[in-house]
Amino acid sequence: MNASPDEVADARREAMRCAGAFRLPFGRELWRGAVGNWAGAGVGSSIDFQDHRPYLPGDDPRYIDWQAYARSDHYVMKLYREEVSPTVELVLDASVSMSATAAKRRRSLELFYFVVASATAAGAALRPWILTGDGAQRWDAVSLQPESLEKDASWLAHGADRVDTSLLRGVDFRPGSLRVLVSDCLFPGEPEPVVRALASSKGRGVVLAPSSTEESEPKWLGQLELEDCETGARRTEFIDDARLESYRASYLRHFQFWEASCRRRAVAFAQIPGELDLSDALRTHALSVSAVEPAA
Amino acid sequence: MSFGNPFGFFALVGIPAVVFIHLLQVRSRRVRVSTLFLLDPSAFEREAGRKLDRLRTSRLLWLQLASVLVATWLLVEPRWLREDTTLSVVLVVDASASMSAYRDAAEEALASYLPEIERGAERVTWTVLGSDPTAPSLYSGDVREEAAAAAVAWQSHLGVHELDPSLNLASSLAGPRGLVVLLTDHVPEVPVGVEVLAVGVPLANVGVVSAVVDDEGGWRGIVKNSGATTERRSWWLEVGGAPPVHVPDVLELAPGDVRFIAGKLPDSVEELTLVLEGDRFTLDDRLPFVVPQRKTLRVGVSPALADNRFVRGFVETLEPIELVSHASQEGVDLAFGRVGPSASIVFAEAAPGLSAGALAKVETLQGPIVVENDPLVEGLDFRGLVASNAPAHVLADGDRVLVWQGEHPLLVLRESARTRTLFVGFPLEKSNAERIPAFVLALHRYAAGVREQKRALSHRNVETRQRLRVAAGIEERAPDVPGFFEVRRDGEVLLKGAAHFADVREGDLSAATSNVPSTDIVRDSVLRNSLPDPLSAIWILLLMALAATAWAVQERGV
Repeated sequence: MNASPDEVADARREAMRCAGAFRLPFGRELWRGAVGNWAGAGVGSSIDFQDHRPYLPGDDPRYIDWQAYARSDHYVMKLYREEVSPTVELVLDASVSMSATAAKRRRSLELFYFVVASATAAGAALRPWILTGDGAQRWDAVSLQPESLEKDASWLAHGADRVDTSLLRGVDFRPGSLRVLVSDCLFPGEPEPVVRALASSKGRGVVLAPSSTEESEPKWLGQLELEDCETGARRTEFIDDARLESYRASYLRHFQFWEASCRRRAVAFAQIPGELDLSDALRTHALSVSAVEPAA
Repeated sequence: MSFGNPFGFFALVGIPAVVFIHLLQVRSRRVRVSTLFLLDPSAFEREAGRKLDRLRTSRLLWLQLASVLVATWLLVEPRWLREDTTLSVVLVVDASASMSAYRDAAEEALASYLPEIERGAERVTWTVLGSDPTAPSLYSGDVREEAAAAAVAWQSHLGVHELDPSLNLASSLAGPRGLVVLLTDHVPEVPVGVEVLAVGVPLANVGVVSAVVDDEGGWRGIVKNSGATTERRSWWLEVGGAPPVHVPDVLELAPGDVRFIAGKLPDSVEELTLVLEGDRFTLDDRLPFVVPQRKTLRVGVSPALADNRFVRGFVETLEPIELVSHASQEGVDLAFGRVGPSASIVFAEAAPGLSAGALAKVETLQGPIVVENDPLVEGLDFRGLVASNAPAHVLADGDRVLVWQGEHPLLVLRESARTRTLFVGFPLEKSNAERIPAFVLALHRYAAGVREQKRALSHRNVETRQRLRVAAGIEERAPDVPGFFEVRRDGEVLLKGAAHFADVREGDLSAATSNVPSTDIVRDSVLRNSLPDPLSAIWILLLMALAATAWAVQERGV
């Protein structure tokens, strides 16, 4: 179920609007990267005082605290915080399940564009990755242009094969980068390999998981032939209330595992339901878990 | 509790139907899902290609089953009998002998049918009658089992007989709101309001119809196959309770076949039994018979008739007789020509004093011959009788003229307390009476009556329940069941007899049928004596609610 160019354009506009109110959690971390506008982890040339230390040969004499020298007769260096531009590693799960429903597909597009817009607005270096059944692939800058994305919208529902938790191993995250995974997390297996990869190399991870009530509260009843949208596997079952309750418990338990795993690795995890407006969804589901923060 | 419409229980067929429908594989609705891995494979998974599936309980199933049960409850129209109601049931048992072959079937039929009747009222009174209206009632009370036992235990030995008298009696006993049930082995025409419980089934039956002893020391019997199939039976003779007097012989009879069997009588034997190999109808399987012995008549002939050729020949036909010399002698049973001490036949004489030539010229009687209504001359035709005139018989009080010619009495019967005299009103020698069969038969009838009235020993073969005239003033009825019997008076044996069952219509069991009465009359009684379910309106509402809920659940897909 591919998105139409119009749908992609609408989703981008909505994400851009939302990016004025929320942004990725840049302000909660000391970043590494090129010179920019965000507090870095090292010493820099900003106006924010950080510390004093004794002068060492080779230090820039412009940062000697002459007042301290007058009081103590020792050269003391005045250190200021570094200002950097963080790197945002955007990993988009392009499996078919992301487009399982219209609302979920719209939400997936919006989250993708929200991350792009938020990173662009913050001046961050954006490194996009697309995750398919064939593995993780880097997108070049040309491919990421809106015109390219809207011209051929088949990139979202990319492959029929299921994404699994081992695919992030091929992603070369930069140390100290902000890793944002946009995925519905609907693949079997333990979430730990994915979460570990997001939190590796002193990076900060954020998981934005588009969801749909058709998945959390399905209206399956009676005799159904259930077809997996990714693998095409079919199973005929009679679904009654008890069976449905069992499914709901499995669904809840699946995402509890994800939340618990993310909590252990200090990775923000937020399920963003597709049925709400994007702003409301981010405010009610992402803001509280620090997956986003209010834009300055 | 009873049910006004027992056919409503057929609605219970809906239960297996609903279960069967739920056993069928429901056509699946395809749904594309992204979370199939969260739905654990389980025992609920169905195998493709199978028409039937394991039964899975669901709300829809239970709702539909409950709907069937409530609908059944409404359809059977449950009713509760009022406590003060009574039903009078009169059971008439067909007393025909053929019923003896269906005793077991009757017991089973009563055991299943009478409880149905008992549902008609809170209290049921039972009366059991035989179809023999002269027999006393077999049971009267309110215990069903005892009524059934009395009906089954009754011995039925009658031949074909009218059922209406006993059914009319039963109807009057039952009253307008009672129930009359006829227990029989076929379905006869019965009055309105009588239910027929028939327990017959066609059976093969071979029976002995009759056996006679001839004058030459032999016997002859008739065997008939009344069934619809070819039957083989062995037969033999028994003397008393002794073993067969000869090796059993075998008969093979086609349907409806009649076979004559015969043999020599064993020496010095008075009583024998012709025995057939047994079947379900046993009454005609044994036929007892005796060597007949008639009473000996003491006959006296007056000297005037001693040389009469007709009288002499007639007397010889009356064997066994004992001739005595004087007609008026004491102990003479039948006197000819003169009034005797007991019975007599007296012929008119020609007018006295006539010469032979004049006698020849006596004119014959003229006028029409009229026969009176009397057993002695019933059915006899005296036309052609030519009799010469004679002085007319002087009629006395009590004389009965049996035959007239014109104004002249030809036969006159005179009876008194001790004597019985038949007067012939014309001279025998001047008539052609000896060539008129009616005249000879009338005399034989008279002589047979004299023999019948005589108190003496005789041996006779009779039918069961046959009315017997043993002697003057002594009448008996033969036994109900085949067998030998004696009639005694004052220590004297007057009759040694053998009674056999002779109604071949009862032995024909090929047309027997069965019938179970409809329960309409019981249902009417139930409706009359019971109250309907007071909660029926609630059941209807419940049924509607169940149907609506089932529809809603069906719409949801479960």
